[in-house]
Parts: sequence; structure tokens; C-alpha cells
Amino acid sequence: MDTTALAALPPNTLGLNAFLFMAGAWIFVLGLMLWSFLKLMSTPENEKLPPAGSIP
Amino acid sequence: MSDSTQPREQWGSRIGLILAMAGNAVGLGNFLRFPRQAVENGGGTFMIPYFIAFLLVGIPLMWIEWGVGRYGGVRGQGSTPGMFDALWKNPIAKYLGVLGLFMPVIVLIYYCYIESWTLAWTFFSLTGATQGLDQAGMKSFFSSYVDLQNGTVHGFWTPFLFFFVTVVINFWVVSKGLTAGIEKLAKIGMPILFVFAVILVIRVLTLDPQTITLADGTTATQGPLDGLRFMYTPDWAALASPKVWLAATGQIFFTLSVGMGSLQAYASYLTKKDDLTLSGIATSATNETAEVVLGGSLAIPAVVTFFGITGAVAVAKGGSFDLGFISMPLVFNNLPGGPIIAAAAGVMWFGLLFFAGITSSVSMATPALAFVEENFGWTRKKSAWTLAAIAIALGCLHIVYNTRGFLDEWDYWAGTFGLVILALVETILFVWVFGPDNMWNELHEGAAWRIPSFYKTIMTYVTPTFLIVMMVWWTVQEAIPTLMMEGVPAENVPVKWASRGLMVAILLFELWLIKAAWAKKAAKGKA
Repeated sequence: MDTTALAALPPNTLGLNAFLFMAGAWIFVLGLMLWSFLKLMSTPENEKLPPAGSIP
Repeated sequence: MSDSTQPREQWGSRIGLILAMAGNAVGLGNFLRFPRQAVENGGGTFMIPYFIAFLLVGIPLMWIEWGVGRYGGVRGQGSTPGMFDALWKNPIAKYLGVLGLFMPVIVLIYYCYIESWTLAWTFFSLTGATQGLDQAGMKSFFSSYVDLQNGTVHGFWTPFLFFFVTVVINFWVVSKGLTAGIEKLAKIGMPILFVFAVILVIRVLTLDPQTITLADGTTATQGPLDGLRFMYTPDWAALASPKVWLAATGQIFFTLSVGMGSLQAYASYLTKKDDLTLSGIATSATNETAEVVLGGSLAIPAVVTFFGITGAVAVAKGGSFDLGFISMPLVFNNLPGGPIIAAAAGVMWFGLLFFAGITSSVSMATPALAFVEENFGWTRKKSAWTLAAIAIALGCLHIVYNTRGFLDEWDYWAGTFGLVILALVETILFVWVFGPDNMWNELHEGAAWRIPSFYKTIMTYVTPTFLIVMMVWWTVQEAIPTLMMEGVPAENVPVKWASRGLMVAILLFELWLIKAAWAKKAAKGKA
């Protein structure tokens, strides 16, 4: 990647573009993990949905 | 049906299953390969094709493999030959399943060797062997370990010893069985891995900026946020590059451990009452968190802080192992707090890599063990220690000929190209041959969550298309040049041919085993 553009900001600065991409990636994966685990925990291990195709 | 008279084991708990599945997926690549791929393929913009591939290929393949595995498992089949035979009543189906036996065995053997490096470096960190070394010293320390023919720093037998210990630990775990071995390892190893990783991430991200002298004599001040900026700053032009899209899809493949045969083997221990839709997502999301949040915040920010962006670029070009085994110990040597902090950080870094490795490698042993147990009536202990002996014998070849390209051949054909072939075959069988409706119903047996219906279209058309494009691209760009050994030094050509010959011999032996297993079943059926 082009590293010259990175030198424009003061030392130890994340920058808006990088922050947005990083925050977006983190929110996506952490959100997906949180959602799936919370939903799993709220579902008893042996609860079964109605047979596939029976829901109109 | 299975020949074994013993009932098949089942997972002890849902959390144990998810941790074991996530442990299978979380490997060395999460912490070493991912940051390098992101830096080399567009920085922040890499995350766009990466997440698109995750949604269109990764998650669907995860569901397909769980579905194939459970479908075979409830019919007494814990490996892909039996699973494919159950899905498609055609004599060829079981032979297509050889890929799901061949690849995990091949990858297991060289993966255990690489995993043994992490065990060795945990030991070296603990004893302070890497402290006080400069960049050249660290490089020599690493290269003399992995290049036995030019080794000067370590004793000749040291790599063999750590490899032997690693294989024994792996097979001791799998010999204990599913719940007492693999599930227990995941319940212990995964929390340790996450705790080590979180501690290291906090330490790295709170490092003070360092002033370093560059090669041209000027100085620059860099901190960990510069590392994150380096990794996440978008390079929009990269989005137009097919190479970046293929790299992102490839990373999703490797990181989720799809196309290997091991996820199916784990899923074969599910029952019809078990959920696989939501559990598949939870597993994938856990792996992605380990990769994006933890893996992305460790090596690159640390290396940029102490060596600058130019140094990080050089490290990235040097490869994932340079990053993990040369640069990171140098970073630890520079941490404030002296030798004790350096040792603690080294133990945590290589310890987390070891746990990431072992929770993956035990899964690779599972398909072969299930195959011989179910088809030839072997006990778990007998099958585990027999495979361990084979792994030790063949692994020694990797130790001796590592730098001559022996390992690279196995890694490319079984650990890279083969994954796409198995993924494509199983997708065609489960979605097209078994039928989209049957596939959909199978996935929703016992489901805790209904998959959005548009995913049925994605899994029927988009995922296979992605896989076909990927296979064609890799064939043209990499497989043909690799096959023709373009750019390979003449002295390495015989070693590479020997490596290929051994792989072919293993493949043929496994095909013969499948033939023998089905002949045994047929004879039993007539009797």
C-alpha cells in the first residue's frame, strides 16, 4: 500500500478514515458474536422449531 | 452404516461444541496471516471484500459443512467418504470424499511441525533465550531452528524434540475422545487464548510512541495508533483489483477452516435435535472477533511502534513467520519493564499461538480417526497413536527438508488449492445433488434460528459461483506455475518431486482404504 500518505498526520494518530474502517469492522464482528450468543443463550438447547416448510 | 458396535459420542454441551468449533477455526493465521493480508491488500478497503466473502462464502460454507457433517453423523459416518455416500447414491461419491481424509492428514502433519515452533518459542521466552538479541541475532536464531541443514544456534535434535512433544500432546488429547479430550481442551484453551490476546492487545495499544532512527538517518516518532492507521487506511484503488478480492476470499477460507473436512467431522457428533444455524454463526463470529479485533490489533501496531512503517512493510514482505517469530520477540525485548515483562509477553504471545494451533490440529486428526474406527472397528486409542506414529515419521521429513520446499508443496496442494476443491465438491453435492429444498430442511432440523430465505438463493447460486471463479483463478495464476515449478532452484526440484510423490502415495492409500471399507460393508451385508 501507499505509505507516503500516512505520514501526513501527527504521531500516534489513527485518522478519521482508518477509524471508520476499524470501527465498522469491530462493530460488525463483535455485534454478530454478541447477537448470536445472546440468542443462543435465550434458546433452550433442545428447543425445536416447527418442521421446515410448515410456516406459511 | 457404521460397522462399529459402539454408539457414537455426542458433544457434552452447546458451549463446548461452539468453543471446539471456534478453536478449530481460530489458528495461527488469525494472528499472523490476517494482518499481513490486510496490509498488503488495500488496508481498510480489504475489509470490504473480506466481509462480503465472509457473508457470501464463509457463512454459507460453514452451514453446508455443519449440515453435511450432521447428515452423515446421524447415519454413523464421521468422515466425508461416508457422508458423501449418504448424500449421493453413486459409487463415485465415497471416492470424492477422500479429499476430506487426505487434506486434514496432510495439513495436520506439517501444521504440528509449525505448531511445535510456538511451543519451542514459549520455552525460549520463558528461559530468556531470545532476550538481548538484535534483529540479525533474532533472525539467525529463527532461521537456524527452521533450517536444519544450516543450523548453528540450536542443537540438531531440538526441533525434533519439540515436534515430538507437540504431536504427543495433540494425540494424547484426541485419544481421550470427544468430550473428555477435544471438548475439554477447547473449554480450557480458548479462554486462555482470549485472555492472553486481550492482555497483549491492551499492552500494545497503550505503548508510548517511540522515536526511531530511519535508514536515511532521520528520526520519526511512531505509536501503536500509527500501526492501526497503517492497517486500516483505505486504498480505494485496491477494490478494482481481482487479486485483492481473491486474497480476501482466500483469507476467509483459511480463517474459518472450511474445505478441510474437520468441521464436518466435528458436526457429525451433532444430533437431529441440535441447532446448527445459530451455532454456525456464533462459531464464525467468535473466529472473526479473534482475527479482526485481536489479531488485527497486535502484531502490526507493535511492529510499527518499534520499527516504523518502513520496518513494518519490510516485515510484511518477509512473511507471516518473520512477523511472529522475529519481529514480535524483538518488540517484547523493547517493552518497558525489563526481562520479566519481555518473558511474560513472549510466553503469552507464543502461548496463545500454541493454543490457537492445537485447538485446530486436534480437529484435523478427527476425520481419519473416525474413518478407521467406524469402518475397521479400531478403538480411539489405537487409531490415535497409530496416526501419531505416522505423523512423527512423516513430520521428520518436514523438519529435515523444510527450507528445500518439502513443506511448501504440501501446504499449497493440500492446504490451499485442495480446500477450494473440497468446498466446491461438497457444495455441489449438498446443494445441487441433494437438492436445495432438502439442504434447507436439513439445516433447519433442530434449528434455534431460521436462516433468512434469501440465503437459500445465495447458497444455491452465489457461493458455488464464487468457488468456481476462485478455483479457475487459482489454477491459472498459481496452480499451473506451481505445478511446473517455475522459479524453483534446481537443487530443490528433486525434494519437491519427492514431496509430491509422498502425497500421491498417501492419497492412493486412502483411496484403497475406502475401497476396502466398502468391500467389508458389502461382505457383511451379504453374510
